[in-house]
Amino acid sequence: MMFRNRICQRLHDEHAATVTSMERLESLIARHRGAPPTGADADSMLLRGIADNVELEVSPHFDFEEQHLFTYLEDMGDAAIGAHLASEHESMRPLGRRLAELARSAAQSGFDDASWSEFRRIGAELSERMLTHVQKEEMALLPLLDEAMDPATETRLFEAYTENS
Amino acid sequence: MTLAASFLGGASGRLLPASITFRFFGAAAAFHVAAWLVLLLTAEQLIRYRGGLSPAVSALHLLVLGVLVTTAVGSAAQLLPVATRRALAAHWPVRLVFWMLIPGITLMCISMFFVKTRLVAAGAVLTAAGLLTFALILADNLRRAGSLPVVAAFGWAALAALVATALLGPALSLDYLTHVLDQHQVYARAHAIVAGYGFMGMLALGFSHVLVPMFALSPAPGRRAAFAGFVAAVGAVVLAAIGVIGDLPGIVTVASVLGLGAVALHLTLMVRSLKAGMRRRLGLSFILVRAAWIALPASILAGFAAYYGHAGPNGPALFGLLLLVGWLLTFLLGILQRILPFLATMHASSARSGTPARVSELASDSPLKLHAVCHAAAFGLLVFAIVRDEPGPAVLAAWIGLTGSLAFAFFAANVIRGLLPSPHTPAISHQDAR
Repeated sequence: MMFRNRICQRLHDEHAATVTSMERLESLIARHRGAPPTGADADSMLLRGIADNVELEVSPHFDFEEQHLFTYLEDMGDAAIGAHLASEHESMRPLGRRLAELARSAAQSGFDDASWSEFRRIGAELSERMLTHVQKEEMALLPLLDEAMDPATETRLFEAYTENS
Repeated sequence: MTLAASFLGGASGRLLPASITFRFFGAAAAFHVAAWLVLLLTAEQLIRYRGGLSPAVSALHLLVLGVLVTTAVGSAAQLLPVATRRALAAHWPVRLVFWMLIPGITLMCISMFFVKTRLVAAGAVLTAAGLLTFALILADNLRRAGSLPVVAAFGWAALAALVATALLGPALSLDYLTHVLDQHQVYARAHAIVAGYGFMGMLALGFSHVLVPMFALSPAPGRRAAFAGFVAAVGAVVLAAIGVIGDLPGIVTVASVLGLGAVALHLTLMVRSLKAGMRRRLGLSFILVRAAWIALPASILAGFAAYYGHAGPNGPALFGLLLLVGWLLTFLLGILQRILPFLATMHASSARSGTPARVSELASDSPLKLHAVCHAAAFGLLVFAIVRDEPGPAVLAAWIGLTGSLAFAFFAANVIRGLLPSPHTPAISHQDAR
């Protein structure tokens, strides 16, 4: 356990899953610089995994942070961190939605040159933004919350998060 | 609060204006090119260098002062106010340091190249004045670095070494005119140890405790082990300087063993940190960092062997190469290629109203790949040239190193260009007048 606060630990575990997913995405793009993947089972599973991560983990993670954690920090008088991280969420949301669409479609019927080109472009941008973003949250947001949040708020917000996921 | 939290939590007040920070990095990139150029012109002297004032010393000082120290000053001036969450009282002292340091280093290195002793002394005094002014800024910040005790401890040790270096350097330069020091070479060796392992080495080890976990996304190394490594490292540098000045072989041996112990402990902590990190793909920069970690203990072994005369006729040159190029330059360039675009995106984010800036938008990584290949090849060829006492490979190494330094300068120029306001975006607004 890295964090005393259960919310921080939960977000940390999700960050680890996201970093793994983004590094797999980067690896897939690097392995197929020219032609798209041929549609092997391993690639299909990987694409489904990436789409699941983006849609089922990242999206609720962003929503929870914005609705509960950034507002909590704002109430504490520290609005700058939340504003900065929320602006990064906004830049990643459309990328994540489109990448997941492309990944699910390709997992079923493969890529053509145009869809692979778009997937590579969006995937490279999303992974770069996401890895930097996770870095900032791990080094800034989570230690701050771990230090500052009182047990009652932790319990209330942890229950809110686990009930909705 | 962590370093990154400070960056995000209203860091705009503590981010130095880009024009201040990046002038140091730009100057360092230019000195890097100049160092390889002078090395090209003095390759034969350099591989057989054993001390004394000669054109080859110019290449050494371009590397140490021009690249290493200039980068260290720019980085520390930016990172420490963020870490301490206290903005600098004023920006003008940092600008003043730049305007003393850069002309001072330039004058000193040109004079060294042409062996003009009076001008060397003048350049050394100006450079030392810049370094001592920086020492005051550093001391003021370290006084308030309560949340980062390990970094602060290394910082204080680096500060002490900086003051010793800044006093010893001009003394050695003036001695070319006055001939007062009866053991000039001995003090020159101590100057190299205190500057290389003391000032630059302590800064590199200290900042590693923050930067390596930050890049690898891992917990900070254990504080107790980090402090043990710090005590061993400081002890090693102090004993090495005493041993060399007093010509005390026993003390030099103890210092070497203690230094190797400190390095072993530091590297163990760093490797653990990488293993515990979420990020597995750390890219080109960490290939350089890992290579530098190999060169660090190798430099101590080479220095030890050279002291006892067991490192061949060019042992002192081999020691200098492993310390300055293998360890410090390789490490610094590895870290700098991560820090430079990271800082640039922080500035660019505050300047743009749209989406946050990306590192890849500011600079392509192709020049960095070329630089890394050239740096490794040049270093390997220089080791070969020194060990075999053959100037030919050293000349080839200098050409390759020069190519790599130009590639790195191109990368740095692109990052800096990305910060300049375009006709369509508002200029970065900072309180430059402070």
